[in-house]
Amino acid sequence: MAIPWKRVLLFIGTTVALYLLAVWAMCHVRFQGRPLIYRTGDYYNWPGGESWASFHAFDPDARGQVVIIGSSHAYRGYDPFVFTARGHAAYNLGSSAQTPLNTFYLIKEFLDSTNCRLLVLDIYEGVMLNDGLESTSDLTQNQPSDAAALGMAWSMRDLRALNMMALRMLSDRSEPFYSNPSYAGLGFCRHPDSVGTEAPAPKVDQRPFIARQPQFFAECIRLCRERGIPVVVASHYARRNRRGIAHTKLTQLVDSTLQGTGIPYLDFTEMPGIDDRNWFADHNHLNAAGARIFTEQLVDTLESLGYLPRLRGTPASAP
Amino acid sequence: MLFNSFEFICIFFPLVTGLYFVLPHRWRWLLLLVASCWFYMAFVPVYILILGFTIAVDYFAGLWIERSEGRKRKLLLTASIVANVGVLAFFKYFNFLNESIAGVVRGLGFHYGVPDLGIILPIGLSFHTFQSLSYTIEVYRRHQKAEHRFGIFALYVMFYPQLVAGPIERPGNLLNQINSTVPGTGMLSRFDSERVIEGLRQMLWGFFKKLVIADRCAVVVDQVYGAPEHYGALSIALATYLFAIQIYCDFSGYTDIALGAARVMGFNLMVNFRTPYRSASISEFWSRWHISLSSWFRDYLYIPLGGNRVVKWRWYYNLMIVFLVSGLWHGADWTYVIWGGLHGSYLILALVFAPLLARFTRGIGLDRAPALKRWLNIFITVQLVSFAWIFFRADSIHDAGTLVQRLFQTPLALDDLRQLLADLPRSMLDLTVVLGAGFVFIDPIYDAWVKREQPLPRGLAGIALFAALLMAIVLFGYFGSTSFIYFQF
Repeated sequence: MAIPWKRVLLFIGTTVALYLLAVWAMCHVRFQGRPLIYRTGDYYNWPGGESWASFHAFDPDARGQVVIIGSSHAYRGYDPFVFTARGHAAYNLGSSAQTPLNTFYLIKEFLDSTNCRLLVLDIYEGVMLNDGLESTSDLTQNQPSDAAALGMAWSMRDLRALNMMALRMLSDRSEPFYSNPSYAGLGFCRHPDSVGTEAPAPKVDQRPFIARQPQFFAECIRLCRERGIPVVVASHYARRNRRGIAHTKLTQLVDSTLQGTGIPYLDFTEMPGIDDRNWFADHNHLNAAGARIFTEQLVDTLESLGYLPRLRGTPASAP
Repeated sequence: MLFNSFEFICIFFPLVTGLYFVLPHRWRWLLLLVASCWFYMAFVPVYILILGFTIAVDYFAGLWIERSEGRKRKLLLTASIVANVGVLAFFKYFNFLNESIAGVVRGLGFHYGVPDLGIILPIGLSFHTFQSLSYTIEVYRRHQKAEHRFGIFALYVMFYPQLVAGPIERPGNLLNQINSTVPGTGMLSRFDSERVIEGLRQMLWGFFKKLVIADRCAVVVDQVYGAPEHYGALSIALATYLFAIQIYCDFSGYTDIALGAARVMGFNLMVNFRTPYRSASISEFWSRWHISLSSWFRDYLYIPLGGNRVVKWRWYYNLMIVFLVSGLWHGADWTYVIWGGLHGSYLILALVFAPLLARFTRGIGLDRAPALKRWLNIFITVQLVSFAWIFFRADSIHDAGTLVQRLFQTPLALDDLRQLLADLPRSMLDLTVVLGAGFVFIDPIYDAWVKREQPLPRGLAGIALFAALLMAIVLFGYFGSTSFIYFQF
């Protein structure tokens, strides 16, 4: 078989050159004030919003802080100002639709036992049903580590992730395109409004978990243990629709993953007394009041378990 | 297995093709047969038994027909046709017939208790049934010798590139290439880099049509056709034109991948599409659209019915029968029957009014501007074909009625697009329209290149033209895993 290598290489080289030229051109030609590339795919994320603010303000050299990580449940439900008010420095690295795949690369590039005295890893069923593309799109544009972006993009095994990386490399991301008015600092977003309605009946999502997400969840735990980062896995309060049988599959997965590690699963999903009307901003996320109440309870639990010392802090306040 | 899947592109195709060229020629048939089974069983494994039944019936029918004479010969052919059409009828049309009868019986106020069958239609059933049938008919007509090796005949029916969505091959083409005795052709092909590159180019063009054009158009089409009562004339017209592009790119894209994959291995499958939207009449459209099916119906139904060598009313009747059956072949639903009926009606009306139209065009002087006349005819043909697509794509007769009613009764206003823009991302709609419109212009050019009817520019320009397709697939491809429309038939 005489393979015409010269023509093959010329074809590959021409394709790469045309691709880079096209992406570069679409990043620099503007239409209605925005680079043209954002009009060519609904999976491209603009730089900006809470992820931009959070990851650019995060100081990896800060010592001994509690870091919260996970999906929107994390950055909307775990109030780091409650931690600081209780005397524990804290930062929230949660981001929209962040899945274990994305979390793994964030831990890998940003956290070690020096800058993170305790990692609170939030988890809920939704992240296991998500392929991670949405979060990869967000984080390839909004967090500063090239290595983390490349790792996520590669692990997606999806050509769209390649396009996201090309956009990251070839576009101007020096300034955010927009900001999130609910961003309160320390990686936290505060939503004051309440959903104000009764939750619907629990509904079991029959879809199977995306296979790689439980694997990456186990990898996150392995990485933390390897780096000597103390870690707890947590789930915050849930409305009625996410309780009971709807939550069972996740509980089983987390329990089996953590078995023998000594890492606790602090599952607040079905705590008695959850106020479905007044503690939630929507069907899925805590509002500011719910986040404050939940985080107080979480800090109490962490102190009682010995993960955090009992200290007297300053009153909670947002900047 | 889908052509547009990771398994096909990264594992199946390179592995099978690599082994094909490495193995001695005498083992190639076995490799391709095993690969074809693997390819088919990736969908619903158990349905290979149905395929096996069809193959066994037609294999023995072929042998016996060859040995028989007179009435017995005809009887064996009839048995083969009944067995093949019986399988097709059972799996594809039972529920349709049952529902139709139930509707009539219940409409008359009687109880009807025969339940539908809870079965999924075996993939590509209509295609391989017709391909297998063409073999027994050709043997009966003494145009083809019966194949004595069961494995070779099975490969003829199951050849993976065209197994699930055609082209519907004839034994005179494919079986003879499998049995090739001429070195360097068909199964005896050697690795020829020029031919392999030509095949890969055609596959790339097919992937471009499927991933960049068809699947992107599908998003807009599905939105409008999924809730026709929410949209007005402009959105419905836009979605219908996009569906015309979608179904062409989806089906001809599949065909290009099939032809390309076969060509890489040294097989030449029949051309199935010739830029059909450049047709200046409905009859020309059918000589350019799904050619393997329309020629199958011509040879095995239309001509046996008498074709056009009969009195006029009988000719029109023959045409209508062929198109109604063609509609039913596509799907077991009244929407497909109406679609076929519309095409039959277009053809009959064109024949009836041909003298009048000729006088009219002469009268207004259009005959003196043949180019303008042709473009005008192309425009009218596209409108007629697109209108018929409404019935083909609609989820039910009721939806088709709603679409047609809203298409003609709501005002044609730009405001109408607001609803569509609210339901879909703006970027999605803009890019789909731009790519769809762009495709209409580049299609004839690339089509001629991949069919080797026009020489490709030499040197880097030729390479860049296809590198641009790959670049476009990566950059603009729609990667929600989707099947091909014609798989359901």
